[in-house]
Amino acid sequence: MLRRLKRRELGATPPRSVATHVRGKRVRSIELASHKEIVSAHNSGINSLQIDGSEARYLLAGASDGSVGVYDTQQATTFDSITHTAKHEALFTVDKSVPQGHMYSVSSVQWYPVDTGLFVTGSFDNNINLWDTNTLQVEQQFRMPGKVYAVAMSAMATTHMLVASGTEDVRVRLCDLASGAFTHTLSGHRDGVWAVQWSAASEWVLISGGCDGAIRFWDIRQAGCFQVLDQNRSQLGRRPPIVKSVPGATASVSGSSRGESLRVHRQGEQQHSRLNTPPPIRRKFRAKDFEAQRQHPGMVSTLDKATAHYGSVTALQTTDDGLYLFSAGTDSRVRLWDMQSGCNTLVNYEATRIRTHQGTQLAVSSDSSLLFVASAHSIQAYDVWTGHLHSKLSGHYDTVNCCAFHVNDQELYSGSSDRQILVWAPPAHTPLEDLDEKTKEGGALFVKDEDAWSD
Amino acid sequence: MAEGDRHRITDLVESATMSPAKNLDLGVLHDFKAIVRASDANVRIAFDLLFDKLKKNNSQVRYLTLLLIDELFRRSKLFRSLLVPKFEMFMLLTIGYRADYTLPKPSDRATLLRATSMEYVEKWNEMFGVHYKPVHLGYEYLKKTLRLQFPNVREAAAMAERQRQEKEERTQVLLQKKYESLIQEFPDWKAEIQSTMDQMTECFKILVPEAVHYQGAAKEGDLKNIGEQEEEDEYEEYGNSSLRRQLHQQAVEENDLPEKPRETGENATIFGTLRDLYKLLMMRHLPSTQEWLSTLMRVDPPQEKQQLDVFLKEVIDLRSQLLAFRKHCEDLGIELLEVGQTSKALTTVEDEGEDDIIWEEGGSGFSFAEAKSVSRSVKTDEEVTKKAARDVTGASTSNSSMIEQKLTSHEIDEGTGLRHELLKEAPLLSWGAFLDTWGGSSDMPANQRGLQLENHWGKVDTEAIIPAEKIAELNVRSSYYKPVKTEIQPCLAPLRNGGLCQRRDLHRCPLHGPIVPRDKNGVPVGDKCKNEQESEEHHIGQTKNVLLDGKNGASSSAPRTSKDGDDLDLSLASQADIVTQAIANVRERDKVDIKRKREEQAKAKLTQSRRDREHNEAVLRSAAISHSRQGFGEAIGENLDDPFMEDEGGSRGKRRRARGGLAALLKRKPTAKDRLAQRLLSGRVRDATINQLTRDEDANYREAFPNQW
Repeated sequence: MLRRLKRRELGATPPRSVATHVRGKRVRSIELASHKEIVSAHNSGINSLQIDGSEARYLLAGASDGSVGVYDTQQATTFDSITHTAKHEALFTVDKSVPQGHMYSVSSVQWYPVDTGLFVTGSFDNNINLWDTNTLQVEQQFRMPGKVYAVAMSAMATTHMLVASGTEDVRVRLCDLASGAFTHTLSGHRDGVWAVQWSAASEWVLISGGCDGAIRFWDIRQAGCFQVLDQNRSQLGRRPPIVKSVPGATASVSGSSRGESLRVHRQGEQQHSRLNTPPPIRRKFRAKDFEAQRQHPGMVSTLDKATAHYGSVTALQTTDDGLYLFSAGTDSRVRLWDMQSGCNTLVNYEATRIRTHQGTQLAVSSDSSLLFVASAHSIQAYDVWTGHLHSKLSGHYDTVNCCAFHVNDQELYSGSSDRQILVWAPPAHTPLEDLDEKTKEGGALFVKDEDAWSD
Repeated sequence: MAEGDRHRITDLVESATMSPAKNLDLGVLHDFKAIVRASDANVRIAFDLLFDKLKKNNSQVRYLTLLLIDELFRRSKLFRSLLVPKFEMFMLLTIGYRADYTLPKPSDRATLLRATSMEYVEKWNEMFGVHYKPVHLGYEYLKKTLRLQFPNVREAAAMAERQRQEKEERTQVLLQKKYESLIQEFPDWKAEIQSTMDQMTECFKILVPEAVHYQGAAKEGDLKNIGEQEEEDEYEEYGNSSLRRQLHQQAVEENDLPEKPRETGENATIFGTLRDLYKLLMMRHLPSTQEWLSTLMRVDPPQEKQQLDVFLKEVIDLRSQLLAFRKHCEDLGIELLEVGQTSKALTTVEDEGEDDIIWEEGGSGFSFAEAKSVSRSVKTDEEVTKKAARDVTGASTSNSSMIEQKLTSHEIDEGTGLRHELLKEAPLLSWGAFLDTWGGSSDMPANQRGLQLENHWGKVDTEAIIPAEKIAELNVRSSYYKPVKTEIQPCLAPLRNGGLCQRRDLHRCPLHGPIVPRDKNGVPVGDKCKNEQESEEHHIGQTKNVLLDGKNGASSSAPRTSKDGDDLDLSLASQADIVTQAIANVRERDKVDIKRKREEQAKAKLTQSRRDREHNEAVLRSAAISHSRQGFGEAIGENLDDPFMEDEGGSRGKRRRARGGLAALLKRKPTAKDRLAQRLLSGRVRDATINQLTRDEDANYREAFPNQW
């Protein structure tokens, strides 16, 4: 460590390498934090967690009882001197007692990416609420056609403030916070949408994963989805050079403007033509206007029946650099996709048990080295590139629903149905011996953690 | 070595978990602990084995395994670190809070397992929750999320401890206050007590000049001897309101030893003083010293420990001296007046000093005044009440066994002198409250019973006096009516079997009439003179008498005999014959009469029943006829044919006839259903008939007025 610092001082190593190294080390040593504790203010399971992007300080949690709480992850409210635990209590909670508050389970929460003055929540009561953090009132309410499973805002958007919503309905709707209206209705999925995620690379690209097992890429500037991920299209090893892949090009189906079409596109077209002759009608009520829809260039992609998972897609998560996409499905698989090529990288993440009745959240460490998957009662940390299980974080006593990674502190927050929000952090500096001494002073009842053979 | 240990541990775990008991075998446990302790490898082996055992599908095995796990968990850090990662599984297996992990059979052990496991989890959380977060989280989960009820042993104990401490603190504060006041007051008190004791010593000295020869002995012993000598004497003079006390005095007097110094006119004042001093001692000094002592023993002053010790010593000395004096006085026979008062005084020792003092003043004033006056007055009647008093002692529950003993001894040797003779003629009175103030003629304070509490409604008038006549009125002797018990004579009338009737009735035997005196044969022995006088009148209506009046029958037979026979000394036998004859006559007539009556009754019954039957038949017949008409005749609007009607009536008649006999049981009775069917049928018939009739009518009309149609 000191040698590294010395080398950094001498300028022998590049500026960021020390920090990267330290961060990587810390992430890998993550465990159940004994020095930090978030006191859950919710009466039921935690469904969704998010740390705000502007300060990386406030943790937003949505719970099954319709309440939403905000916790300060930096400043502890109380400090338990006996156990040396900093307790973070909720700064505030909003629940159904607030006018227009959510009646049912809050399925997803989202900070306004620019500051912490607003946040968006989606709930099973079919509403998406925009809350003002300061007044704790609902500023806007979007009525959705069905249960809201996921909401997402683009962290890097500068030209729009759209909330993408995945609901029971097959269409993904984009709610404009500026106007309070739906700006887009993206049709393509054949079943409800459980996961939506904005691309970390482009503010226009939206990714959605539905119960039909498809992951669709939408460019909100043009009609239809431009890419459907297919689990059978895979690439091993290095991906094809990035130079040739221009994001907009892949979407054009007409092919008039773009001369060079990628392999992806071609294959999609082939699939399209192959599937065109016997139209696989999954939903009979759609069969009637099927022909009409087919005429519309934006609807062509609906015929693409490629699936990313054998089952619903429950979670989507891009890496911080926006190059890769993780998806989790009810087939208890986590897949790593190359966003650019749209190929399955075939990284096999060892056995996971992903909950099947609702969407979850995945978390990726900032250097894209570890992936945290909520798996049954524990969280499994995988090495992103090899898929090997790095560690299993167990501490919850019920299904873990979501996890959120704190970039600066290398901490992981996880919410579970046992209504706990646990903090997983690199080991704190307080050694246990020190702690023991202090406990003795405190005169508490618990004993030193030592062997105590009486006979 | 390791293999050997493994086998050994396996064996031990097996043997420990196979028992059906609710506890572990201590020997096995000891061996197990010893071997597990030996090395870390053994701990691991033991953990693996135990966790495997925990998965066994039997609650008893799991329970015993749990006990073993607890033993190791509390002792071995390694074991804890092994178990904690699997803590969720552990809880599932032992508490079974999830539906897919229910506890196996047997169910009673499952309950026990769950309870014990929860207790352990709670305990472990308290002991190691800081170091092992999963334990803490698991506990929290069970408690807060699943809301399981933990035994919460520590909380309860802590609560009890806290309450105890608070109480302790409060009492300590009070004691501190008391202690401070004690420090201030102590010199005065001490002086006062000392003066009292001095006075008492003086009194003893004056009282017993002859005790000089005891001077060599210790002062205490000296006083004691005096006490013994004068004990009985003191009793005599010491006034008491109760009669029993009087009696006791009497008894004591009779038992008096001649050499004992008695209270005379000379030393009466000394005794009085002594009594007052004793009173003071008992009522004020002793309780207060007692209280000080308890205060000093319990108080925990922040400083001045030495001073406390000195105080304590002084108070103890003082108290022992006071006790010695009390003993002497009691030996001399000076006692508190009333038992209730004494007990009250003793209980108030524990109470606040103020209450004590207030009560004491009232009590002493009252009891002294009353005691003296009553004792004086009672003395005058004592001879008369002696016997009564003996009765009293028998009836009342005596508190002092000593007194009773003395009394009985006294009773034994009382038998001579005037007293004895007087006793013979003394009336025997039953026990009552009036005996308490026998012969008393003094007023009584109303509010000084020693029982009243602080009256918060207003000031209590302690001077209030109940006048003597009022007391007398209240204590009027009551007597209750006691019916004179007399033996009821038996009837003694001769019975048919030769015996005599032994019924005991007051005036009249229900079988044999009025009770008259009879001789041993059952013959009434009327006064004969009276019979002679009345014989003339009786003679005329003799027969009638015998017939009608059974009551006088026996008596009237005697006059007849006296009349028929010239001799009044007719033999008893002939008289008896006549009597029996008369009785026989009477009975015969009675029989005839009864027989006739019965016949008449039977005849009347017969005629009545015949009339009833006729009437019934008539009613039934008319009913049947009307019914059949309603069914058919009315509907059709004309009289039906006779045969039909007859048939209907006949069937009814038959049914009626059958009602009485056995055949009725065999015959099926028409049920409601049948009747309904019948009615419906008849209804249909009626409809058809109406139809037919209207059609006929129409046809007739058409025929009659063809042009109008």
